[in-house]
Amino acid sequence: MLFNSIDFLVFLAITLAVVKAAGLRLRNWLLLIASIVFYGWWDFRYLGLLGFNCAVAYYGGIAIGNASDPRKKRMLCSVCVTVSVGLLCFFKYRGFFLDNVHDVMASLGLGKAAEPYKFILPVGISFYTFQAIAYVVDVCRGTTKACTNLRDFLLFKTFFPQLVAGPIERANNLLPQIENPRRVNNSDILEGLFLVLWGYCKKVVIADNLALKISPICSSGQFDTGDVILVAIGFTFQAYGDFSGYTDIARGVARWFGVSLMQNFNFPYFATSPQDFWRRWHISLGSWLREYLYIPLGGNRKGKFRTWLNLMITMLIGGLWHGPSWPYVIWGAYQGTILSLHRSWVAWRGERRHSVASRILCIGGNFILTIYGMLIFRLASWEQIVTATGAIFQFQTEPDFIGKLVRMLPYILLILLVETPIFATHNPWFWVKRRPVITALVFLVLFYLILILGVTGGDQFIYFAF
Amino acid sequence: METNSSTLHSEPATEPNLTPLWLFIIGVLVIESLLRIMPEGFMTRTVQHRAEEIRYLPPADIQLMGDSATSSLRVALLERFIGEGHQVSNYALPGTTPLFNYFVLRRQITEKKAPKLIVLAPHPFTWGDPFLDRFMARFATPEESARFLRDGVKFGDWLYGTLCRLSYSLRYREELYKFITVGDTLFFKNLEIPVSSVQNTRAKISMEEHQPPEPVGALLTKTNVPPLLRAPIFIHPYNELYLDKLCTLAAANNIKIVWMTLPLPEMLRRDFPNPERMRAYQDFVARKKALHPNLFTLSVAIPELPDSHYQDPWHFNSYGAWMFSQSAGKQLADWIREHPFK
Repeated sequence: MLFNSIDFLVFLAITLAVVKAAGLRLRNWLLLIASIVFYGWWDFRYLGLLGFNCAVAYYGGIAIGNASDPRKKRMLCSVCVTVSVGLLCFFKYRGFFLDNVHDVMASLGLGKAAEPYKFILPVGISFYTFQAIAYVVDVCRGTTKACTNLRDFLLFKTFFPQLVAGPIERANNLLPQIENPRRVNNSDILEGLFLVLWGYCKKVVIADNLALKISPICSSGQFDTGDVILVAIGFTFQAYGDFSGYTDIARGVARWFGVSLMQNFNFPYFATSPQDFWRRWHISLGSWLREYLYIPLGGNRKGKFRTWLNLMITMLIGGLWHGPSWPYVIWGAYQGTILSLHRSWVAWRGERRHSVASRILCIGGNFILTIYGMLIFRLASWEQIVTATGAIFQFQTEPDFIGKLVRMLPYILLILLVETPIFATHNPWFWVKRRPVITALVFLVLFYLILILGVTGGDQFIYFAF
Repeated sequence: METNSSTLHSEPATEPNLTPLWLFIIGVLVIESLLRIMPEGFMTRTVQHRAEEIRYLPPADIQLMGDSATSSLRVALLERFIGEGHQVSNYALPGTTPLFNYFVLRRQITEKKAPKLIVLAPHPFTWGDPFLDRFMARFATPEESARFLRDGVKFGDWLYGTLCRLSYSLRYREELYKFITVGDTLFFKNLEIPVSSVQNTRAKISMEEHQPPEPVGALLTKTNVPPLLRAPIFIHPYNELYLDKLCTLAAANNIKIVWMTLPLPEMLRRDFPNPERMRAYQDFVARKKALHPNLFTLSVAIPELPDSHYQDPWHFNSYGAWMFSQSAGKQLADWIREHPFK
């Protein structure tokens, strides 16, 4: 069930009404049923896979929690992680792997090129797998207690706002809120409403309209300098609108059930460096990669070379996590490279405080690195990446380039208009904590922007492909 | 990279009241009320008026059905070429899709005003979108809406259509969207234009019958071709469903259907060459012809006319309509000679 479908709005209205009527005592049962319906609506057959993933994490967590020997804990944890990663690889990467093996064999004359493998990707598998891994590792490390209530654990894993596209919630944040339900207060209602309206606005107004403008360019496969600029800038804001829009809707909906999900985006385009970017962009994934991959690999504790290598491995896997295709791998390598270069730069120059001017320069410089990364992320193949990169240096644009750029601007300005005051005041509820008339006006404007400018029947969220 | 979730939701010392929420709801209701008293646009009034005319105008034995492109065809010219005392009506509804045709015929059969032969001639590219919101919000009766759901459309689509019926913000969404995004004020200008009925269109056309309009130079440019016309033709499942239902309903009432493909301007092929563009349409026509014994086609290929016959990439100008009506009249006359239906 897509957040931007009418089915979801009906489902949400019914779920809210039933949970409200039933009270706190039945909340977790009802939310669990609703979450199963939400996931099964897409394809009920994959409920079994989700159930198996939950069972591995639940019983694995209990076994790890009960084990007194650290070696046994680590062994059990390894089994759980291997099973989870194995399922993820089987469903998400087996086609990619086999296609590439066939291609290599065909190029060596050892076989014929085969048709690409077709397989269905169970929606949300990357998200719930990473959540399961984080849970068992946390239990093994002793930072989280194993949950022994099956209902609460299942709800932690399947809570529908975050189930299919994150944030990748950690047990420390979400489980206590499930185990100790609280009443929904007026702040939850108003702040949730702002998040939901702004999230939908970012998705159906900003991201989907920008997608309509850049998709024809990308599908043509022909680029001049202007086209590359349009795709890079357009997709940079489309991706932000799409990704952060989903997260905001998820956080807003969760608030209406008395649950606070973690923030997943924190003004990433105001980042001053690649490292700062990953503290602000898809925070739940960035922190997951750091805590469960980069640090266990040795982090920055084993010398310069190992640090670079660890960064590269982490970002390559992060790239591959987004999807089984080479552009994502290249994007991961690009991220690993700029993170390594930045780290070397800081090591050589030393940590310094930014003046306002240098801060603005850093934001600008990092933004250029970011939009090139987004260009790689958007393009469909290695050939397109090479063509587009070459086109940057042709310095040719078609006559309507400025017109096309200007037509994108209102959507970009809308993001800045709403989010800059929030960023400048460090107050996420800047628009909610105004005079009631102002807040109501903001709600009204966002509501009518969605209603009138929203793309109906638009794309599904980009996250769903991950 | 740690996220401090405590900063992400506030725990205010005093609980805020819900005044902003109530003011928001009142604001929505006020805007709804203002839109509710706004008059309907030209297109909607025309469609509603013509749909009403179906109930009381005497039936012709040959009836054109389609959209705005079809509605410009010259009835009197068609009658002259077909001859044999056949009468032709043009019940094409501007801004509609093949989905509407089934319900128009249903209404006619209920009123005992059904034709003997339907010439089905929607623009080839209108098969790609059923205009569900227009259908539900501005055309369908409650009984037709209920039938629409029973016919197997997705519940979400049906619900969206119903919301378009109930909410005037959604009903006028299309006009407001064009106004905000491209400054299109056509809707507001159209509010003053009198409705175009089937009857007065016929009278106007009769006057032009012996006096063809002057040809005009080509006004079409590559840039004013909408993206839909550049892409391969797509057949929306709802349009296909209701074409099947139209054919079945027509067969049950002994009505034959002739599918006439409207020509496209030459520039579409010239400036946007894509041999695959018409494939889905041609396959679709052939498939439906094989499925329904009462469905006939004049030609499977999509014909072309010079750009000078069009006022925009979708619609004929007066000259183009006059010219195409002649060739359509000849083709129909030949077909009727081979398939007499009286």
